[in-house]
Amino acid sequence: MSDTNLGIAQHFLGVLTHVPFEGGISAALARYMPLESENDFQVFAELPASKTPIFLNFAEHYQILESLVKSANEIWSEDLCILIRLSMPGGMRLPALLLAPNVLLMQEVEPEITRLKGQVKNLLVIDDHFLRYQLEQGQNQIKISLYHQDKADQSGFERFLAPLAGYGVEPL
Amino acid sequence: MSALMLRSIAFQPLKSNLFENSERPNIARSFDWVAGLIQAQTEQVLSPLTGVEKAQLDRHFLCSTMVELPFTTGDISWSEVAKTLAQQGQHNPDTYINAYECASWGYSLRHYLNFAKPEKSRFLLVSILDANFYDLTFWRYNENWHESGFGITTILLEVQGEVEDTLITKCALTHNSMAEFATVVRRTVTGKDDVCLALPFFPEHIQDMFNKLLAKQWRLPDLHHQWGHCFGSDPWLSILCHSLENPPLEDKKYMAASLALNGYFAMAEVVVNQNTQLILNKEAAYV
Repeated sequence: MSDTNLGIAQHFLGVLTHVPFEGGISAALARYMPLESENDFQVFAELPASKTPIFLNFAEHYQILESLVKSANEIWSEDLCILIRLSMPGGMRLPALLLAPNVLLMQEVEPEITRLKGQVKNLLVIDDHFLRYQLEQGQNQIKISLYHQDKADQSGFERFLAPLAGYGVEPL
Repeated sequence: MSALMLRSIAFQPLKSNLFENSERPNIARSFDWVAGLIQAQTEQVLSPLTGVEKAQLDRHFLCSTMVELPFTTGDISWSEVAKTLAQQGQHNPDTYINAYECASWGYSLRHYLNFAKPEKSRFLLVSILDANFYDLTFWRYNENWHESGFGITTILLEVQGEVEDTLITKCALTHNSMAEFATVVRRTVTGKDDVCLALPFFPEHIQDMFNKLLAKQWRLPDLHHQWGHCFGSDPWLSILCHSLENPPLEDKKYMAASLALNGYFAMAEVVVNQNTQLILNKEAAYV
């Protein structure tokens, strides 16, 4: 946690350690682009490979993000902007809450944090690299940050983080 | 009065086979080349603004539908591309958004209107990049929209008032998003007889559906036969081509509308007039 003239900043860094919905049925949603030409095959043969385990599919990833956004909207019910690192490929239609006006989905969140930190009362940033299919790179990590101006309210962040353990996210 | 004035609109077509004249380079070199095109287009688009007006601009989004693989696989990061762009010019994009697919421009605009600082909220740049960096067959042609078209669009918007009714971002509720989109479009322009629709370019079987569901609405022609489906650029290319052929002598209102494959919609009512800068460059390939 840090206290600056722009308000309070609270951070969490964690890693997904197992499938988030244990015992549930998980659909095989990952699709591969059809490959036709020699070039198509050559391109895909050269793409990087990773040994990071894949613990969720697109639907489960969106389900976690939707649940986090719902919880954030309840905890910080006024003047909340949420930045989420999320980009194509989408795999499926996003839940409505992730398309709401107080959410921005973007490739990299840093430029927007710089712009909005201190400008909105509550700025929540969800920056995860949970792998959903084989071509994605990363270590299944998640960084969550809250920038807020109400120094009296620091318990909300802890309440917000509490459900993560149930999904298999452990602090780093 | 519509609150969004289109001050400049530019399209840089890109060859479907970007690398017809050379070996396909690594992704970093491809992005260096495309960053140069974005920089040049940004300068072109901003040229009519005075220094005072340029000081009221601090936002430039870069949107896309299909440029994701380089970032997904870690071939390049957006921060590397943004750094290259920042070194080339002050007004180049620093934010990359493709999660909303072809509707990304509308969701970017919505975020800007909700959160921009008032003193910096008059002008906005949005660019849309779709380029077949890996020369994949799927992106040249597929059963969803047949031929693709590639290019870079940049629009310069001036916000002249409240934009409550002039920007719509929605998502389909059904899985027949094409028909639902047409219905939402029809409802949106009902009672707006002076607003002409600029819709996405689709192959004939989808055009047939629009012809039936939007039979009474005023629409610009579908240019799929000429350009292919150019993703989020379509409505802007449609307005650009029409305005070049029919130079506006007074304010003309358009409803630019995009539909994403996953059912996201974006619609913005914009005004084009005799002062709107119109730029259509020659098709480019990697050199």
